[in-house]
Amino acid sequence: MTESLSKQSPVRAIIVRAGREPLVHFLLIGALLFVGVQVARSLQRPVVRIDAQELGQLAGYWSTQMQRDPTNEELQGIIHERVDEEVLAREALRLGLDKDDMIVRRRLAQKMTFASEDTANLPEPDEAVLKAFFEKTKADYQAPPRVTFRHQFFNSDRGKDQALARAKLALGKVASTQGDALGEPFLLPLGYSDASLIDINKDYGQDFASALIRVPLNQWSGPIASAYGYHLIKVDSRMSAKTPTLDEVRPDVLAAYQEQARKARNATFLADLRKKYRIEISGIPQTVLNQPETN
Amino acid sequence: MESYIGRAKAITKFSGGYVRDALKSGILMQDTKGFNPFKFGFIGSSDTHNAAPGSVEDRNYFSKVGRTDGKPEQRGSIPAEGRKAWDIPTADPNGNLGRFQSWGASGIAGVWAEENSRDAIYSAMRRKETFATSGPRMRVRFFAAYDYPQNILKRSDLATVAYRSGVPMGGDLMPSKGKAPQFILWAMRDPNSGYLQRAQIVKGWVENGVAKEAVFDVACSDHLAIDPATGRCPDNGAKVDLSNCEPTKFKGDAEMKTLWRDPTFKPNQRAFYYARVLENPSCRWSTWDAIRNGTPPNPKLLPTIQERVWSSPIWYAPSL
Repeated sequence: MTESLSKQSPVRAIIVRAGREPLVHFLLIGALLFVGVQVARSLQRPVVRIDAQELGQLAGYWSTQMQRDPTNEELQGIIHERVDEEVLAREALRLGLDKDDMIVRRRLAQKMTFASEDTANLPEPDEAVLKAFFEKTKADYQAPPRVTFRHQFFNSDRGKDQALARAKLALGKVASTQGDALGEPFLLPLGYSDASLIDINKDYGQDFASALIRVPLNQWSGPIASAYGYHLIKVDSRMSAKTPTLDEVRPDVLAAYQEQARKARNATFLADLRKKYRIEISGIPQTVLNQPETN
Repeated sequence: MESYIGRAKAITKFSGGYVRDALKSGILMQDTKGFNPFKFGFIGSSDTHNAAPGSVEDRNYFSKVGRTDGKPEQRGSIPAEGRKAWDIPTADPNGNLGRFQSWGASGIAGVWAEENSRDAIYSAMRRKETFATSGPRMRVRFFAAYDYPQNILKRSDLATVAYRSGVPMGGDLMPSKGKAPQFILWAMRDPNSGYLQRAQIVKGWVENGVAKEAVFDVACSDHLAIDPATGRCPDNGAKVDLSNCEPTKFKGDAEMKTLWRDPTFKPNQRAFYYARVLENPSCRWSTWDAIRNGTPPNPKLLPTIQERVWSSPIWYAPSL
């Protein structure tokens, strides 16, 4: 054996010796494993899985839109589209196409806004707080005066004095005829029931609207000028402007209170979020950045 | 107008520029192909993108899309960069500014419904009993029949009779037994806008396989009579003071009402008719912007407009 050993070249001797070393065994086995895993990985493809729940949802959307269930063929189309969308989206993510994209950024910001709103449960204010809030915003709930009336119209396009004279003449006769058909045809209604004075003001002008509040009830009065000509008016009933009690408008007040609370929370959330970041904007003087933001 | 709405590009071909072109194509197709895809009513609307319900008043106009034309300078109604005159041309006429500066303020949709309920309003839209305005809340009624009572315009039950013996806007006239149809056109001003200047009926008809159109003046304001030679109302002389947008006082009517029989009617010609009522001239929004800014109005833009209201058409078919 010693003879044969001495006949071997020094290189071969090293290899043989290395072959007996446990460290070399370890490295070789490791390398083999590594290559094997790599090959296996490259053979295994990522999975796109649409589960039953999502499929049900997609079919549901479709049915809502089309007002019937999809046929098998249409269902296949839905699935096909969904898979296309998924692989395109994943490929886009792999290539980093979501970076520096305004629409993706906006959508994410929007999702974050929704998420932050959902997590914040709005408080149920106690009675005193709600009452104070209502007192402060009372004017928002004021109901306008309402009025029930009839009127007759006298067109003044062909002369104001003549129209006024016709109206006065009609007023003299109105008691005996009960006011029927003394006036001229009118494009807007000749009778209003429980109409808001704000609406009447818009259609007839301020003079006419304030006359409705002023004239005595249940008798023909006038002539009153409007944006169209002259009118005789007879008010059957009216209700003055009214501020409701808290109980009458409680749901609205609560909604307004919570809306205000929600806005305040959102503002705080954003302000806190900003504190987590150092914001740098290049090219704009610091003085501009420090100005309070207007909305 | 010599240029397209929304563009500074000059108009060389007028076809397709008016809604009545579509109505004409419709009746022509009905005659030649047996169907009319353009039998629609009119509404006016906004098409604004600024989260506000329309920017309808010229004196109070505040943009179409917000960020791009939210300021007078961005929509071309005042000179750029705080200048006081229009000596330097500011914009590419075909670019964004060119488009924003030529748009009108928003329109309004009117509906003749029996009551203010969803059902009544939708039914009115389905029967096309609707009208469009260029912004103001003026009202128009439009009816047609072959035999309205002579005194109908003076009767206090005008609308009742008009419905009972005729069809309202959006409707179809029965075939004529020889008589030409009569039209009731009745319009009233918006108390918060100008006075009415003239009432017109636009007719389209098919003659020997060609669709034609005509605009008839049917009522004039201010005691004026239609000139028999031109068929037009004389100018009522209404003007606007461009330094403050004040209109001439005592011009125009609060109400216009007329009964008109078509003098050109041929029982065998398919036709449509709709009403158009014009206000006195008033300042365009660009002029209001300029006044508020203390600068002259943009010389490239019209300083005034004539607001108007359009009724939906009434169609006539020679046979059912």
